[in-house]
Amino acid sequence: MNKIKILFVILALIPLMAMAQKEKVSIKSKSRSPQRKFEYHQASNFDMVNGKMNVALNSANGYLFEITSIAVKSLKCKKTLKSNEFTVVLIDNSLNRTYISKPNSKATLHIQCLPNGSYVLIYKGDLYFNKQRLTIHANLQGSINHSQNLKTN
Amino acid sequence: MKKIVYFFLSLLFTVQITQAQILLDPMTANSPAELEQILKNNDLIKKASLAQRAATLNAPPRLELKNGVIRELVGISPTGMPIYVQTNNNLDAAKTLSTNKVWPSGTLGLSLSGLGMTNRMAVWDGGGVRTTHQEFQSRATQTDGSPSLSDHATHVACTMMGGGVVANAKGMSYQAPIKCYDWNSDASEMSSAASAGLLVSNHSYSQISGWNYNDAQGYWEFWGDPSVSLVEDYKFGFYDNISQQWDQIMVNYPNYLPFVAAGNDRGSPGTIPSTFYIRNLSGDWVKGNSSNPPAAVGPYNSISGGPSNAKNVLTVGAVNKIVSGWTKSSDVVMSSFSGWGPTDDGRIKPDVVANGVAVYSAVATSNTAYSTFNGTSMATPNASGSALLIQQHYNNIKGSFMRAATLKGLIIHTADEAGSSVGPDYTFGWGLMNTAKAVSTISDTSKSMIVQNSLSTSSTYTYTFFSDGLSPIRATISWTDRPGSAPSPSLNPSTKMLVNDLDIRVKRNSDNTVFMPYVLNKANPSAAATTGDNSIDNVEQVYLATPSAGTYTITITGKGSMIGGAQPYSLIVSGITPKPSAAFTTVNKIVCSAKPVIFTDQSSGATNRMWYFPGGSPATSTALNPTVSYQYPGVYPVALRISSSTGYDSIYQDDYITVGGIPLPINETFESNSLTRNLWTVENPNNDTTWRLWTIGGTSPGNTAYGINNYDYPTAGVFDRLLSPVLDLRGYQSAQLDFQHAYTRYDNSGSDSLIIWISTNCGNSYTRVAAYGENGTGNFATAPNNTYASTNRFNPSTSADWCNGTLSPTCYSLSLTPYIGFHNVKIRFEQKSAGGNNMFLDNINITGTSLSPVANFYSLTKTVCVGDEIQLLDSSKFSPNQWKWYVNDADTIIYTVRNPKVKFLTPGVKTISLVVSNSTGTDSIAKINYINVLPSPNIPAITSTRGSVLCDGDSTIISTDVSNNFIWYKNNLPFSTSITSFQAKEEALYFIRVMGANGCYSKSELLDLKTGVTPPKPTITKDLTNFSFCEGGSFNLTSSSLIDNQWFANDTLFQGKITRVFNFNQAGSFKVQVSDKGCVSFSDPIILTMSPRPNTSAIMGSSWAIKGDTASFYVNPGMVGSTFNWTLTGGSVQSGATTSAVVIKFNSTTSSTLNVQENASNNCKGLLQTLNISLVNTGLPNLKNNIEIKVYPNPAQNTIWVQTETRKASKMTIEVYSILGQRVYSNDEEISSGKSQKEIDIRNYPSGMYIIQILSDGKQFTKNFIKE
Repeated sequence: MNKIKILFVILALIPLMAMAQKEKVSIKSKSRSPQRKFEYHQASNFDMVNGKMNVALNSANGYLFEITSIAVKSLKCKKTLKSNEFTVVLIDNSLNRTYISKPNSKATLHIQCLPNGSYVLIYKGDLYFNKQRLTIHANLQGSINHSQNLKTN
Repeated sequence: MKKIVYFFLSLLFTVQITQAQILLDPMTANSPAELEQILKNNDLIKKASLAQRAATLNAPPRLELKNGVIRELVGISPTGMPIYVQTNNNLDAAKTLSTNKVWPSGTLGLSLSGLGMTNRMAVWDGGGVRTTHQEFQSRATQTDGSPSLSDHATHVACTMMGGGVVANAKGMSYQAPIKCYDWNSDASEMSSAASAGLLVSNHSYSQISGWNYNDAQGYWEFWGDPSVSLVEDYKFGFYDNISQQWDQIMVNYPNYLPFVAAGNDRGSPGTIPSTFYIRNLSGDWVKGNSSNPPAAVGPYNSISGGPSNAKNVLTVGAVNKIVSGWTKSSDVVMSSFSGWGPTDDGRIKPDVVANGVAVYSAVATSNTAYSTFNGTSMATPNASGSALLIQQHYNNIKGSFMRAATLKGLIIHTADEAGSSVGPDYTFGWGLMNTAKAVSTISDTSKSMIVQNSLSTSSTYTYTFFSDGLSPIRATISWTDRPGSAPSPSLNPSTKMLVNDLDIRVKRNSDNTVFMPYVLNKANPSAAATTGDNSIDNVEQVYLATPSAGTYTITITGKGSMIGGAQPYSLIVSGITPKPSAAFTTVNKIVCSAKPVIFTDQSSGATNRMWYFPGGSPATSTALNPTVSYQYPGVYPVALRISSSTGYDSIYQDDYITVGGIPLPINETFESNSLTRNLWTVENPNNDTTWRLWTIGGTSPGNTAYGINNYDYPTAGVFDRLLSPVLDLRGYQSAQLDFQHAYTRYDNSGSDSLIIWISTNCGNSYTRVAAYGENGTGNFATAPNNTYASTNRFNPSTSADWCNGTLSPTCYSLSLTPYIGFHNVKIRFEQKSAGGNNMFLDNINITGTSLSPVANFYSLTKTVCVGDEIQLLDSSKFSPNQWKWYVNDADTIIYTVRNPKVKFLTPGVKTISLVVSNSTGTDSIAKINYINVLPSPNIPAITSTRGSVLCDGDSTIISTDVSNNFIWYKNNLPFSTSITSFQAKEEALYFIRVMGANGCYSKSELLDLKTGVTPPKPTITKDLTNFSFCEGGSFNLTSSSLIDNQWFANDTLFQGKITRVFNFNQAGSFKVQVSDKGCVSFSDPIILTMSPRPNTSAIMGSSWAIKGDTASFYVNPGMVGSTFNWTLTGGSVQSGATTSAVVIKFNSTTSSTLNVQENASNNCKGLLQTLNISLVNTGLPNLKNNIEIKVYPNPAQNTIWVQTETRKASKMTIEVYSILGQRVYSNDEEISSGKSQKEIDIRNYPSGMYIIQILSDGKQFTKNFIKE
């Protein structure tokens, strides 16, 4: 009986634990030159543009990590998206480089939903700039701040 | 964007023609919106008819020429010929904004192209830019990796920075790099890019607002929110959370300015379609009710939703091109689609307009594709690309980039007038952007001013300047305001979004007239601008088209408290009449006697000038660039005095012109730090290779020498000459020339030669003094022939390559003694080429042994007035280098410069003496009664009834005590010669000069009249509960004014206390003064008294105690009625915790600290008294069952009494132990019940603590006492 209670508590706490998870982007590179870390300092920004969700996270040291063009129909809880269902970009302002995902790669984006309506996005995959490859593991959390339908002028 | 689909023109016209086939008279329109609809309908009808007629003429409706120009059929002439119009292009857009004028080939003589502005410009758009297009030349980077290419994005980027491969597609910053992004996560990307230094970005998109034609479905949609309104889209002019977010980004990054399109929705959809779709409350698209359709958009309040309505961005509307540039307001023609203001809260939008009609630029179809687009999308990059050049120029001038508010304010300040009335409007905003004017304003620091400041709460900025009334005055302030609070979606909420409300005023100081900034009225949006208090916009401008001459004061204040503590702002002012600034130059400052010297006036703001050339001819001149000659050798000063309507200035340059040559020694190293290197000249008769400076080695100091290339010199027998500066060899007993040379021959067949000449008449003729190598033997070569044979050009690199080196000969030395006593001397080193190898000269030294100087001097003026200056000029012989002048006046004054200016303070004849010296000797001369100093009239008085500061518009009467022969001066310009008093109320500098019968003047003191505003009366807040404080304490007084606080204590100025908070510790009366240029305001005084604190005695009691024992301590109170606070460590208070006496029980620690502080009845505390007590063991068994015992006195000196009280008679043993446990006294005796006492003689005991132990009736008591 005690074990059941413990299990119940754990299950009940999982959402809270998820909520307490800190956003993070880890960057690994196999190249000889060291890759500086992604220094987190502010919450990510979730927005919707023309029916697609975009998430962006600015670091304190010149990085911008983005997951873009997630179709609304793909925003389902506990769903894992394939690499051709979204785009990931890591902009490095210090080096003026942009690392981009490939649509046919093994990268995945797992979507979790929290009771308060916000999303947890967990990305695992590789990004590329010319021949250099970075392996990214990112955990972003937030709710949609703005929703716009845009047109050019 | 409206992409012109000409291929389906006819089909479209046929469809549209069914809706309305009759041309309507535009004059029948009852409103601007109806007019727009009529014009649109008529246009469709005409185009359909035209298409039919063109088909019969076989005239194509559209032509695309090879140069990228598009021609479109727009009509048929009366003679039946087709009429085409031709598209505009980026080049025309550049001309419209005068951006072409700042290009390297432009009329402003600048070279602004955006080159080197890396990471400074970016574009966000609906898709990716085709970065491989030939117009971008690898300067465009799709930073966010957007995969889908967009014609629109490519078109916009090319207008910003296209390279001009096709000339008509040349962008504004045509050599700038650009970062490209799509609009996903634009705000985050903007923040990221701004943190990396982004200055300018372009956003030619907005939220879909109002009517939108769904191309895929083929019908109109209305994008309004049905929960807000079914007939109007609330998003037009609405400040939403996106606007708020973008305003915050600009607060975070104050140098970053986004440019946003105003939108193309004005007048949309034209004719209201009978079939359209609209969202229902569930958000689904449903067919709309054609009997109650939404209205057409605008014309006013038609700025599309989103960041276009943000406060801090620059919103751009679209107008037609002006190829020849703006000349008048009617040149600016509004497009048919550009969105108009106001915003819902009445702010002025768009900010400016630019060319956005039929613009030709690159597209993404291929790397060589181009097309023509209309839209505010095209106008915005016209503006943003041009703005980068303005930043580039500012950085070139100032060394840093300007704030976004400054850039925006400057663009607004210099925009060309547009619209039917002067000033801003909701159609054209502040007007047509003019890049050239913005750039010129940055450059023109004399007539314009750009200031970047910050305004804190309750502070004021003022700036006073002079206008000659010939140019308009324009003053603009702009600030990056904090984001407003976005209201809930609603129709036209009027809540102001302005957070910090700054105000600008311009006051004409002559009559205190205040000029207000422009304001518009959103309730009457088509009305012309008026002036008044603007509490809506974060840009304000005051404009005086025809100011009267005089001084003006600009004042900037803020309403209420500045959120954030202080508000940064930018101020741009044009129309300043600069005060004159004197400067001059001449090409040659060392000249021969009687040679003309041309002086060039480099002053600014001068209308009149007077030159002074002591020792020259003419001695004075009023010419712009006079020519002067100096007959006699010497060193002379030059002065220039200029004036204009705004004042005067002067400059005096002592020892400016050296006539007759420079004295010895000359040590010419030809290094860059040589002061005389540039005085050497070269004569090159055949304009071929000649003497020049070379980088060499082997000599010291440095690595530079003069040399000539004989190796490649093809022509033999040609002379090239190196000439020394003019030399003055007077005053020497002997002189000598030494130099180093390096030379080698080409081969044994010949030798170049070096000949030395000297002239004593400034080079008119020369005498030969030495020659080397003329015999062809090369016997003055310093390097071996074979080393530098026909394959090597000689360039000395070591000391061995020079004279006195390995090969020899020795360096040459020539005596110049035959030429001493001459000035205007020149030495000429002449090289005669024989087709040899290179020759070098270095370290040319001309030295001399001085003669003893002969002192002499003169003055051009022998009679002066008291207070006037004269110039004494040294004319001593033989080159003195030290001077000592003795001028007797009220005291003897000594001057030690060559040519002093002297001012006499007393009348009479004056004797001048001069002592000169050089390394050889000293001489002196005295000229008795040389200068006659005439008395000057009494100094006139100048008084002002109100003093030198006028407050709050007050005036004063300025008067003098002289009645005739006077001149009043105002701001250093003659003002009046007749009135002895006058009223004044503006800031100015006054003085008066009076002329005596002998022609001498006296000048009064200066009256520098200032005007100010009495600041509000300050109040003082104290940090005390009442109006007293305790002795030993202090208090803080805080002024209500943040700045300019001057404190007074007891009516005496408290020096150094110019702070808001005044901390003090003495009683008295205190007040604070605040001031504005001498207009002061005092607070009411606050009187504080000091309450005395009690003077508590030290703690009385033993500094020793037994562990576990109790003891009494006390203090003598300083005041009656006090309470006491006893605290201690190592024990506890048994009784008397709040009284002056306390009983303490100690615990078993080794020490105890006892503290007490007296609290007087006046709430003042005495000083904390402390007693440290050492705790010891008794050495005795710890017994129980104590009896009552008293020991007194304690401490004691001679005798101690032990008083006991028992219940029954018993035997009592009294023992006394030292602190070391040694028994020093013992006594047994029988005592009766009750009290008894025993005297113990302790006179012979050593001082210290003792323990008394009493045993009685099986009970034991222990007490300690101090023997003193």
